[in-house]
Amino acid sequence: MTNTTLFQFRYVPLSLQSWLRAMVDARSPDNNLLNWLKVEQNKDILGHASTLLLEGYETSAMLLAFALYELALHESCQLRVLAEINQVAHRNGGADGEELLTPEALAELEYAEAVLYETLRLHPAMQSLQKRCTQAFTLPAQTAGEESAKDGLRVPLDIVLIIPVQAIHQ
Amino acid sequence: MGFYRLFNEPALLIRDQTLLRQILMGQNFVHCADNAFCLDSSLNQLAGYNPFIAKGERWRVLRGELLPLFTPRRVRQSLPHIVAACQELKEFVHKSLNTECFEAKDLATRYTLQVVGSAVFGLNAQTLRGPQEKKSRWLVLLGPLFQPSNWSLAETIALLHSPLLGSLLSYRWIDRLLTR
Repeated sequence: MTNTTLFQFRYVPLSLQSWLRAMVDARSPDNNLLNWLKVEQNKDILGHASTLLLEGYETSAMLLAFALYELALHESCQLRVLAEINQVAHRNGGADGEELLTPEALAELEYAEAVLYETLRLHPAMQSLQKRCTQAFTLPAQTAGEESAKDGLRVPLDIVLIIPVQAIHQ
Repeated sequence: MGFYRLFNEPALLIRDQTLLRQILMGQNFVHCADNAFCLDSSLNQLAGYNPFIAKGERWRVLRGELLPLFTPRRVRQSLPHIVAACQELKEFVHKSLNTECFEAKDLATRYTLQVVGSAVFGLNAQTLRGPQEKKSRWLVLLGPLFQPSNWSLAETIALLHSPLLGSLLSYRWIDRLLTR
């Protein structure tokens, strides 16, 4: 227990877990993701709440921040996003922004969506993915035309496969 | 392409697009389904629920439980939460943002936390209150969570490469902030 106390003292003197539990207990009875979960046990709701919370804000915030940054660097793209927003708002009956927040209007914002995808290409949320082999298998050979080509590459159990997302994107 | 990653462990670097498809979604997906993270599950009970970390059958079950939350119907039903957060964001930008220069990451985190608090919990996280008001607990607790610290490099190495180093550090991926 001394250890835990030390850790608590050293990092954050507040308990995120009990705070999270309090937030889960305080959730509104209306439409929200926790209430749509089809799980019975409280600890399962708590576990999923931690996933939805922690995976929910940081990656999206990174995307939005990088998108703002890239738009600041590329003014012509910025103007084009703005023009599209104004057009779609106009088509959907107004100009104060409210009309944009319907599924139909949002689907019309094709250029804005492209900007977000391009931002993800330049600044992926994960720089690389790592997978572990759980059952040996054979990858097809990469060099065509040779006799030995059909042998392929045997991938043994437990080996780690690394997918360099950011490098592939550049 | 084969190489040795940290601690002389052989690994494969996959660059070819056809192979990537085969491994990530095609015929070989089942052969390399596990995420390659090392986490002590007794220290990381909450992180054990994370489908990006969980393995095998448990991963399958957890993913199955989360998936129905992201159907087109559910996404449509979540939109009011986002609309409300956008209104807050609009006011915040008008009232509190220095238009000459601002920290985009801070603004974006305020907005996404407001959305998550509302859409996941149905709560108002109040992360878009003005600077003169008290800072939201959500921002205070969660804002620094993903910021790098002096321990970050060692922790990342432990997470990706070495359960032993992880146990030496008593590495807790999120639960290090937690107490009994």
